[in-house]
Amino acid sequence: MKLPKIHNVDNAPLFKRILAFIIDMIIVELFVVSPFSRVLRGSITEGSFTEILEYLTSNEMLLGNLLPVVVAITIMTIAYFTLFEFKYQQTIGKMIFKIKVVSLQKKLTIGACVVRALVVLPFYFVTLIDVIYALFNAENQRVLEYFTKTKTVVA
Amino acid sequence: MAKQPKRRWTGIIALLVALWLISFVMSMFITSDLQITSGNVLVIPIKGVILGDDPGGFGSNALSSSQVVSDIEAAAEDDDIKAIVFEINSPGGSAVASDEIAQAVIALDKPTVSYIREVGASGAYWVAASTDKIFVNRMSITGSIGVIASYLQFSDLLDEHGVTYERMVAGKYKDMGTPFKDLSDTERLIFQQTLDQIHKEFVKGVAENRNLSVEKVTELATGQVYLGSRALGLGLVDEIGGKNEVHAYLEKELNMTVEFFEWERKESILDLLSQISGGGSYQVGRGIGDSLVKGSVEPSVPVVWS
Repeated sequence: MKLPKIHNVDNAPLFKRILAFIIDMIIVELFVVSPFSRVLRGSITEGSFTEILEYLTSNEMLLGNLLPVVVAITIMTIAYFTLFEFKYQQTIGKMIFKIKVVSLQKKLTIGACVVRALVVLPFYFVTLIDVIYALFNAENQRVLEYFTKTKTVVA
Repeated sequence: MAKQPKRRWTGIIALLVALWLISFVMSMFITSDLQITSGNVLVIPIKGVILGDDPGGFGSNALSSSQVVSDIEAAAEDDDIKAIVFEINSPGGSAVASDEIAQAVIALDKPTVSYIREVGASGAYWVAASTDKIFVNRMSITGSIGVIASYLQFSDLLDEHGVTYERMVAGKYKDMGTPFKDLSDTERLIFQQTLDQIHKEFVKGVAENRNLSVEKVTELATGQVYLGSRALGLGLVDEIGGKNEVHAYLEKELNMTVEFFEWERKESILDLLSQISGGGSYQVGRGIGDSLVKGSVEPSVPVVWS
């Protein structure tokens, strides 16, 4: 007899989610960003963070040239989170910290996974709101998790 | 039971490899004009034959004046670039293309220096003359202030083979310069007058840019080449020296530490493909064009300063 799966609904601790995200970003760096190093190499001057930021913001031509690279990396990063969460309910970071994504409805859809992954879009204000929201609600849900009716729980 | 985790890990690795491959392919298709910008003095190489547009293709020994002018204009807008150095190794090229570069140099409101390596002759010398200071090696070949326009004329060969040139023109000089008939005296005169006019412009430009009298440049503008040491004596160049001397000169002139840099153009796979097909098409097109009578509706005499 086939019994329905019962999810463990303990919310994943926030520190585990943060560490898992850091691991995922390292994976993204290795498998998504590194192929673009050929294009990025030499485009950014050496210097402190402030100097680089000042250099980038004062050079419109460079920003224009970087745009396709930023768009491509963002798309591939979203693809990483989407594909892993849809196929395994976990990214590699989440696997290491034994946490997973569950749907509060019937099952995790690819659409929900895509929307969840939009947190990596380079709009820091949106990212900030998404993360801060998770800190101040009982379910520790991010805004995008709330909209997609998903949450991250202990595996 | 052990098969399940193994299959899972295989899937994970396959997914990661797929992501890497897709990213790699995407990176190959992204055209990047990103430029290395460490340094404060831009070096622009003037190497090969100067043309308006590089016909492209592998092994092309041409320099596009459009690209050089665009580099000069970009440097003009970049406050971090304090001066421009033109590293010249070119026999010259198209009169118009050389003049386009020279005009862009003259319009630039920053110190400019050129140093001539093996050859900086004709159109390339015109570019050098438009900079504030010219350095040469004592054995560099420079000068060649003259204009040439020549073509192969094979009407006799066609006659021998019983091939006739059916001349159909509207405008009696429309086909002057076609390789299928002799030049008439008037046509020859028209060509000579055109060359003389370009020569005059060349002489005038050199005289103005080098602060020499038109008479003196006219005297030197026989089309002959001069070695660097001789050119120095004639006032066609300013100093004997190479990159190091240019570096020392600019440090003194700008009163700052000078760091040379070049803009590195990285090409995507699409650029390479377009160069291959573009270059090939150009060569094929040129070959076909030259062999067709139809091609002779345009003058076939190239005007170059070399």
